[in-house]
Amino acid sequence: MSTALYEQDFYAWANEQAGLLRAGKLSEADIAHIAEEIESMGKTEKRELVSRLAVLMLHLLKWQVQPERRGASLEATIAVQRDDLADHLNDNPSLKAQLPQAVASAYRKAGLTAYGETNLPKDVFPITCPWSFLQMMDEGFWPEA
Amino acid sequence: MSTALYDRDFYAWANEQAGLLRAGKFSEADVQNIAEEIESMGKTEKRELVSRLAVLLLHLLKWQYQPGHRGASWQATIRIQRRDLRRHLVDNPSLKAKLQEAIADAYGNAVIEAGGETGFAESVFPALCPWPFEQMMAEDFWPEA
Repeated sequence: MSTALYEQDFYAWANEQAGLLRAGKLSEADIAHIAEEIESMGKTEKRELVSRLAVLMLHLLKWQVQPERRGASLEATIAVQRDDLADHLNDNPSLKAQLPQAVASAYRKAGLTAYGETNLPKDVFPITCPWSFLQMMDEGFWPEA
Repeated sequence: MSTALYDRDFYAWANEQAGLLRAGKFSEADVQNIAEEIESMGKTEKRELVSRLAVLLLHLLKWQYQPGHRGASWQATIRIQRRDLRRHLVDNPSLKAKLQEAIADAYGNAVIEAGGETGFAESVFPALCPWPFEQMMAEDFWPEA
């Protein structure tokens, strides 16, 4: 019954399940789908880490390869991304264990986007991320070509 | 323990809880916070309904009150919002019971935004949504002044 509702009417399912959980009626609850939803919330946090890293890297790459475009706007974007990333890791400290993988995945996106947005030759951009995580997050770090 | 983790490290919490639920270890699970998260997923569906309705209503208002600006882009936005709204209600049929409330809420936002975008006083627009749901969703409905 609950399992079918999950497919047919997510809003009704969510309200029903929250009620069953609060009433302690776990044997009636749709535990498999609840577990799936909770797990997918964790994955969303991980995707957000990758996506924020990619934005930071894109702007660091632009800073490095387009010195003539440096300015307050780019500087502010980088500073805000650093702040948001620090907050995100503060809310999810265990995500730090995923950093090497997240950095590699984010850098692929950032490199491609930077190539597309700057019209510079592909080989201007290093194949793998040239900076360590701590370097990228350092307030005093502004990469030079 | 789990409750503290919920506040300290959401990513770790989500993975731990999914594991506990799948293993059937309900007595160890953080059932109250799981219930809250599942309920909030339901609320997200409702907010999406309101937000899509607001976009549709904003564009219908602009269509009606700024005939000189009508164009392919507004028309496309209206058609897409109608499609997405229909799909959203197919996924969450029980949200239909919330339509009156959602329309009132969305219309208030749409009027404020329409005022901002057109430069017209908000009093130019009807105080209450002038169209029933079926009308605003009808593919051939393009409101005239």
